Amino acid sequence: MLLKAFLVSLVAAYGRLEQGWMGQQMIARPIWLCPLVGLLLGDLQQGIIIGGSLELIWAGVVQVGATPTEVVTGSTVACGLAIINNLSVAEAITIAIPVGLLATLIGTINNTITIAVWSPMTNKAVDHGNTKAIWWLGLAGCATQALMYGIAVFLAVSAGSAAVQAIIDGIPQVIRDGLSNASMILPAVGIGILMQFSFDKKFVGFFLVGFLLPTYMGFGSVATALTGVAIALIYFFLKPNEVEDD
Amino acid sequence: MTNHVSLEKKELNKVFWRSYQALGCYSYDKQQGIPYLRAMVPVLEKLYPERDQFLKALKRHNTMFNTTCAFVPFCLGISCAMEEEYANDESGQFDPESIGAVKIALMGPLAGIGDSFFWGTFRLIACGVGAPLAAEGNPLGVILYLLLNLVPSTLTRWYGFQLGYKGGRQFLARIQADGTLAKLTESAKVLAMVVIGGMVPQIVKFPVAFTLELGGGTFVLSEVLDGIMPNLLPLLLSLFVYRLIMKGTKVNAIIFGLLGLGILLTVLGIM
Repeated sequence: MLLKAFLVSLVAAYGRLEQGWMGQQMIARPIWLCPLVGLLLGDLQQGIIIGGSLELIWAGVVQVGATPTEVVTGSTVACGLAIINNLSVAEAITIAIPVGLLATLIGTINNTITIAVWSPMTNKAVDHGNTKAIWWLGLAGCATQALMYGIAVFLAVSAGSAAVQAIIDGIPQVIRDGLSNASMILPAVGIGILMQFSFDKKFVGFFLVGFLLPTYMGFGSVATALTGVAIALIYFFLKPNEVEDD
Repeated sequence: MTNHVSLEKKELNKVFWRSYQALGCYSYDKQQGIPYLRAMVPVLEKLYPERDQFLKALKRHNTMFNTTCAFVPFCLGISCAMEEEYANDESGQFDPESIGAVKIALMGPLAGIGDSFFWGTFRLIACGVGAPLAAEGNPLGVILYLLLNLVPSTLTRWYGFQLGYKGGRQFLARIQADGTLAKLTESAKVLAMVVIGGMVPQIVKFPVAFTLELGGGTFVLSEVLDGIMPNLLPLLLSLFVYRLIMKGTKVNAIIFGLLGLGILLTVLGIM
């Protein structure tokens, strides 16, 4: 059990380091981290399914500044507990949401450490031209963050396992079915958040085209995206340039 | 500063690789500033062998900076080119403050474009294509997700750095002035809208179980709804959630609301 919790915490720390040290290439997400958890815990298939499902719900949750949900912790803890305790995907999602919320606290603590400790130390290093200190200070914030998240995930998985099993067993069947149904409508949240980025009244027709292609023509996700590329190209080449005058 | 110093691949490559740690020490006061300074060190060491100049250069880059990670190499490339220009400037015409001013001027617009491309378009397409496959247990979904994010981001980083170092400022000013940049951003939004629209029927499911015995026949609510339009409820629900978000409802409140709704409708026998 402790070994499994440790393996899950490694994935959580990796997720942090991906963002901090490896260029934040948008892959510290459930869809990549959960399969890693699954691989380490010996159930890759379940990891992929949970990762894909969580990604759909959290599609819109973006990891910048003050975030409503901490995706890395939420997905690794939930996926770890689900695989260890043989939980359903719906139950994993139910765990992931509160865990993600709680974990945002750690981010706040870490940002406080950075502004109180690392930032003034950098100023000192700059005054003395100490390039060695600058080298490690530029990595320090993420290192403490990875460590704190790793420890939190280790504790949550090792202590949470027994508790989760007891709680899940105590839930009546009708509520479990309800949660399972709820997990099917929850991706609407991800879509709602995504629309914030790009929605513009004049683009509503493009949204409808995207909706109608799978609905009536049976297009899959790849086919819809490729059609979208074609439409965007038409838009780009047919729209005249609006030159700024200044 | 009379000797001509020019930057070579060795230092420039070091700067490029250090650009990956742009979020290595994110702070409220400087945001990506400390890692940016860290990335500039190899070039500054080469350009300013005199300690005085070197300390001034370090100070110049110990400031607040923040933009989309994939565009950090582009900004670094420009900073490198400008530092090189300044270090070799014999006329005394080059104002070193312009180096910081350009950084600050670039980061806002680049963050705007970058967020709409990397958060709003590539990641979204990757999710729209990969997540439904992964949710069915298909590993191809995970692989597609990774490729669709890593390929554009890696290309932008590498070519962005080269472009930034070789006259990126002029290039950016040109495509901004002739309207190409605005059009590019809009086209990305068009693509995003099609993909988001396509995600609705594929990922939002609204199972309706409600039936009613009526004299001779059975009234099946789901058949009636499908007769109007398939996927009608997922569409309405998604638009409703979007409206709530735009009105300022907290996302977590919506998540718990939908969990409650799912349980309630199941208890009532509607779902």
